[in-house]
Amino acid sequence: MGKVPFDVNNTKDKKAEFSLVQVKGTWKRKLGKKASDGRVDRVSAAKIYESITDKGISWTVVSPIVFTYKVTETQNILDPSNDTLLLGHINDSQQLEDIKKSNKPLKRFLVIDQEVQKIYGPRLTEFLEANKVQYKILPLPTTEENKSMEMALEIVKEVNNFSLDRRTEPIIAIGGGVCLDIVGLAASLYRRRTPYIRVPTTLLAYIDASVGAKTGVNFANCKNKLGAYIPPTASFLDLSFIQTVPRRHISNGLAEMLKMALMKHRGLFELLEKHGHMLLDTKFQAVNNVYGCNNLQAASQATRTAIMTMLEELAPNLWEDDLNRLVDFGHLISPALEMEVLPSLLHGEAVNIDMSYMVYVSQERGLLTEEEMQRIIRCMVGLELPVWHEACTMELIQRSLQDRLKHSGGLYRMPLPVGLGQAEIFNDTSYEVLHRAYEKWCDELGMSSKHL
Amino acid sequence: MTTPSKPPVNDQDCIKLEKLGDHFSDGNTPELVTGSPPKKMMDKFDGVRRLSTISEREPDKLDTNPDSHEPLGGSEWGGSSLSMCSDKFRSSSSHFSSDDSYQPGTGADDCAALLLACLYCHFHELMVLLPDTCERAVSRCFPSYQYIVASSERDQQGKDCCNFKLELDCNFCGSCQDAGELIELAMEISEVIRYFEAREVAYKIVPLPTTEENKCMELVTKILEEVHEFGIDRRSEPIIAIGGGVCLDVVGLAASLYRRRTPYIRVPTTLLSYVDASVGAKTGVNFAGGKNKLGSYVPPLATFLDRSFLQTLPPRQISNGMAEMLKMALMKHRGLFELLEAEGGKLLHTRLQSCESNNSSEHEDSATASTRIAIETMLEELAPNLWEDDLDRLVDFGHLISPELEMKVLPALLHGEAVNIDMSFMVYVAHQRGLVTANEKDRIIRCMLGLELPVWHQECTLALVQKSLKERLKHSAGSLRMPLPTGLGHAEIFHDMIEENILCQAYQKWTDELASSGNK
Repeated sequence: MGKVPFDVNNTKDKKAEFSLVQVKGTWKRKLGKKASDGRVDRVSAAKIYESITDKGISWTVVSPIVFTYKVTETQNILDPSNDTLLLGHINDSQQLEDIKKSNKPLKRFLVIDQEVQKIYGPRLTEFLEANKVQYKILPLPTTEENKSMEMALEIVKEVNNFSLDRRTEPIIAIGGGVCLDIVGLAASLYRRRTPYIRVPTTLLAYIDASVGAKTGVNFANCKNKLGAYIPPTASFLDLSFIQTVPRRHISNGLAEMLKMALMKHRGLFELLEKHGHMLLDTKFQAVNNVYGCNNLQAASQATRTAIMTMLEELAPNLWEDDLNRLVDFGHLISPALEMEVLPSLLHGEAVNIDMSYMVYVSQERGLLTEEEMQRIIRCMVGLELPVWHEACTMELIQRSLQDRLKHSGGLYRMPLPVGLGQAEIFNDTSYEVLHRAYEKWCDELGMSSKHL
Repeated sequence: MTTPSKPPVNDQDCIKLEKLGDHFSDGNTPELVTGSPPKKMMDKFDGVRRLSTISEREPDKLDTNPDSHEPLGGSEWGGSSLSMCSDKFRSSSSHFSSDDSYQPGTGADDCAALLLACLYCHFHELMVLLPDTCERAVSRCFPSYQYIVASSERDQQGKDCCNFKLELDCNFCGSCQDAGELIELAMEISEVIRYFEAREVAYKIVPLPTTEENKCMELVTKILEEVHEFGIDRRSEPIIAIGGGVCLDVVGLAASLYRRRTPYIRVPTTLLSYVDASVGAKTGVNFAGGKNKLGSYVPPLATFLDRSFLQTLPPRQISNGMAEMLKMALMKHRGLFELLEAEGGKLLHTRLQSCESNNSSEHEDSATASTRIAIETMLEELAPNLWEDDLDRLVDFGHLISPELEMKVLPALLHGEAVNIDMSFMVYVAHQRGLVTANEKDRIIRCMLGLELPVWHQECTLALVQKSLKERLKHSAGSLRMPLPTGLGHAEIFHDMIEENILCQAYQKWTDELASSGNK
């Protein structure tokens, strides 16, 4: 066999579609989509398209990938009798049973933010000891300034020395957004993909960083320039961590919740409008005599809705193939603003200032009524978030929008509220509108409103 | 110094330049470069300065970020093509020490200018340059070159003449590895530049030393810095990687990290990367002494396969690539095996180039067929399991023992060579277990030898084999997952650890029968 005959009479390019079937452990391609005989072990969802021209052959591989990950609420995650932290990621009930029956001690590598370690370290150690886990805890100063590849590699080095099973021993990250992002990236690089678990300890991480697929670090002074879209195996959400979060940081998280509310959930907006202040006061905890048992409902209702609305938007677009994203609201101008005044504005605060301005743009365009706009601003103020900033100049706004054009395939893709809890994406906002909105925004909010 | 008189520019030289051009991938006859190369070239060849980072060892594969094309196997290639000027000048100096490393310095521009003038047969320009630069050229570009005083009969050329020029022999370019590499790089870059300029593309070339030793995160970071500085559109401007497996892996990782995902394109220039690295999704770098410990499963947007790159590969590299082709044949394609068995030697010697006479033929020649089948069989196995969710993989054949072996004797064995030794041993295991007949075993080994691949190695001890298999068991969720041939062109995956006695018998027989073929 040295020669394979072609059909020389067919002068047109030949095209064929192949499905892939596995027979006795070997994959074979089969022409067409017809079903195969019973000897087949399984059929893949992947396909190979072949096209033959006079220049040669071209194969196109279409290989779908499915990510499955859990976002699970729990309580008292560090209570030794709660096995969520160790086993909550396992889907297969048989596997779970086998592990529970087995005597083999579990092995876990945990990366924890330094500050979080100071508060929860002893309880974490106690938890691991009580469950007879072979563990290593790596506390790191996961700040925005340290959010770099060096830190991710440091984590990988330690993980490599500890020696984890490739599939069954996930790395656990405990901390805020920065911590979860860095560990996520380290885990996605190690062995090309290592399972990891997120345990958010700030409100912002709770509803935002923990539920998506993104991981990343900063590079060349730019935010999140390097990263991956690898989701964790699971995220475990325990509201009790919020107790030890400073008030300002709770507001910070509320900004992202408000974002989802403004984009797609009127109910959440009304909840924040009505109970925002209480949530701040109680730090999302259930026990507080002042407000009675409504607390729990409000706190978990708010977080659940925020997460669900976020998941609705992220799940169909995990790898951002579609650049039209409602979750970008509040994120067109805030990156530049945040970097400009770093570190005086927290991420959520910058997002809120962006959203506040955009609400004025919406109103100027006739998408929101004056009354709706005022309600939104009042809500923001009630959540103790800044609604204006002097560094947010018209120049910065224009610069940000130019950047947006550049990085979003030539379109603005600007999400704007079109009612309370509804939004659409616009590409055609004129300079005049932006300018008028800016003037009004400054007039009404610039002097008296709270800003840092 | 006085300017020496110009030697006549001879038609002979021009013709040879064209021949040189034929080595290029696009196969077109290049136009002769006219104009004044040294200055013009210098503007374009900023990249040449980066040559200082090229390691002395196997000039494996060079990464480039949008453009430059780096060929393989420097010195061999350089020597043969640069004899164009040698008829006129013969040097008596032939002492070179290959251990001297290339010293970069501010003379680098001069070196490049010098070589490029020589290269493009602007010898008169070379002569003009020499008086000012010859000493620096010698010490900087060719530190191994022995300085010679011109013999007396040449003195009539004039006093203060740079003695050196008369003894100049372009052959030294071929003998000196540094110069050979410089020239190759210069030539290849110029071809790529010509391609992009003809299409008015804004480009940036980043040549980098992508060797196994450099396959680390630092190299990735360097690429990222260049990409970031150059500025590319998020979706529509892919990064292009041109080189062998290491290059493609490293650039792939950089691209998958940048903006969390940047499209990239692979252009493999070695046979191994042609049939293996280019078609899968894996990217990676080494870390903490472990191969490919960091990486991702992000496939490229596209891979462009041009077999003419293989022309400039040394035979050993071709064999290296054929090992992976053989792997696919043994696992699932009898036809490919028979092709390699019958025509392996020929494919090796022709570097898998298609014969001219077959162009109009309606049949596929063996080079085309073998690479096509190797790729198709690989794609069949990879597409349904792109992210290795399923750890049972036929493509792991030859990869259970070879990682240990390869790292142990690094850099003595190339990847494909180590893989082949592993496969050779596994064939004996298969035979011992009654899965293949003695005849089939012998045919396979003969085929391997025909492809000039090593089939045994003294460092592949029974202890190493046992250790590798234990590691395999540990890291594959408790199952050995060992692919073994069950005939010619089909295989199965075995889950249980091989019985000790079978392993020992197979090892014994393997050593008895093949040890005499020696280490490669």
